[in-house]
Amino acid sequence: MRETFTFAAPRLAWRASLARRMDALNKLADAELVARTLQGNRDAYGELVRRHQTFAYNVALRVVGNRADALDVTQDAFVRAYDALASFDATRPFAPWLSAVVTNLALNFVQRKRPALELQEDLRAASHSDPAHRALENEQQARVRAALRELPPHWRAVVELRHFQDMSYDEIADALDLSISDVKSHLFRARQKLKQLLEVSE
Amino acid sequence: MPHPDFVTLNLYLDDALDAPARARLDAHLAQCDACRAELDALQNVAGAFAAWRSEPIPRDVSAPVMARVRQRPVPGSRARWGVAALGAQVALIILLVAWALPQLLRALTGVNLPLAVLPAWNWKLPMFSLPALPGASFPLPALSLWMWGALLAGAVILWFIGNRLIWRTLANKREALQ
Ligand SMILES: [Zn+2]
Repeated sequence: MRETFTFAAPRLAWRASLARRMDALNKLADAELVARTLQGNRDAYGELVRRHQTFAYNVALRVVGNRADALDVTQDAFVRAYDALASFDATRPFAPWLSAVVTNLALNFVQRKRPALELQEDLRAASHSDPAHRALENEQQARVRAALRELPPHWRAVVELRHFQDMSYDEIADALDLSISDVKSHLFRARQKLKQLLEVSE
Repeated sequence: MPHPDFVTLNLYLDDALDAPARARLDAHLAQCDACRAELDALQNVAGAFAAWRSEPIPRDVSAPVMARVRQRPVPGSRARWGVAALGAQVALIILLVAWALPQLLRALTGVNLPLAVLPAWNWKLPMFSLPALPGASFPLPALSLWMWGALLAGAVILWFIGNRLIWRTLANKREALQ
């Protein structure tokens, strides 16, 4: 007890100074935070994580399809993005680049982890057992989510980058290390399949 | 124009058709209900995604992420170090070759390099004027040209193995995105 008491004062002061620094960081643009991270300021990266974690999580969720794994993928993706930050072109927006890192990692994760059938069961269970999240989902969203789940992971990744991140064929090919003809074939077949699935469920 | 195929409709949807092809398809769509319906169905797929609402992240991951990030080197620092190490090695090799080449040539083939062609070797940088060099006439083992080649190749292989780590560090930058 005594120990915690004696350490409390300096820790509070440290917290306050930390809070002031964070406060300054959250006013900076992404590009500036990236620049500071590359100069060795890790707090700047912490601000990028806080700013983009919801976005990254939703990208991961659409590709892996379940919340627990999406959370793991999100964390790994931010560490991976940190390691690769020197290759980020700071004249371009940060979020699309991050979405490419997340999508790749999510794709690797799905392909590595377990067979698709098991994953689907897992998803169904998760979306039924979680009333807080279920309430957030409108009917249309639930149908889209169910349809996405039916696609092979590679198609899902391409759909994510084309329809949610609005990337061009070129950008998708670059992000996923695919040929442009593969991008088109995955995307068009995914749309064909989704069209059927969404028609059936209507 | 006959009915466009599925690929063409998709390219149309992505605005990836060139202007003439696009105009042809527009003209066809204006008078073909079946193709318009097909395109509508495709647009509905895209529209379904537009209705997607982000859900909040179940918990803040910044603390666990930063705990891992703090264990790692500043991004790019290892790659910069790798480039510097490679550059230093290349510079060293160029110096060594410049220093040893005239002697090697003379020892192996008896050819005297015309040093006058490169006056810098003679008087701008006295270390390269061979007679003044300490150990300038180092005794070369009597090996054939072929053996010298093999020795050199062995040295290069050793050098590459030693540098594998550096190559890997540089390669990581690209791999991180894959
Ligand atoms: Zn038609």
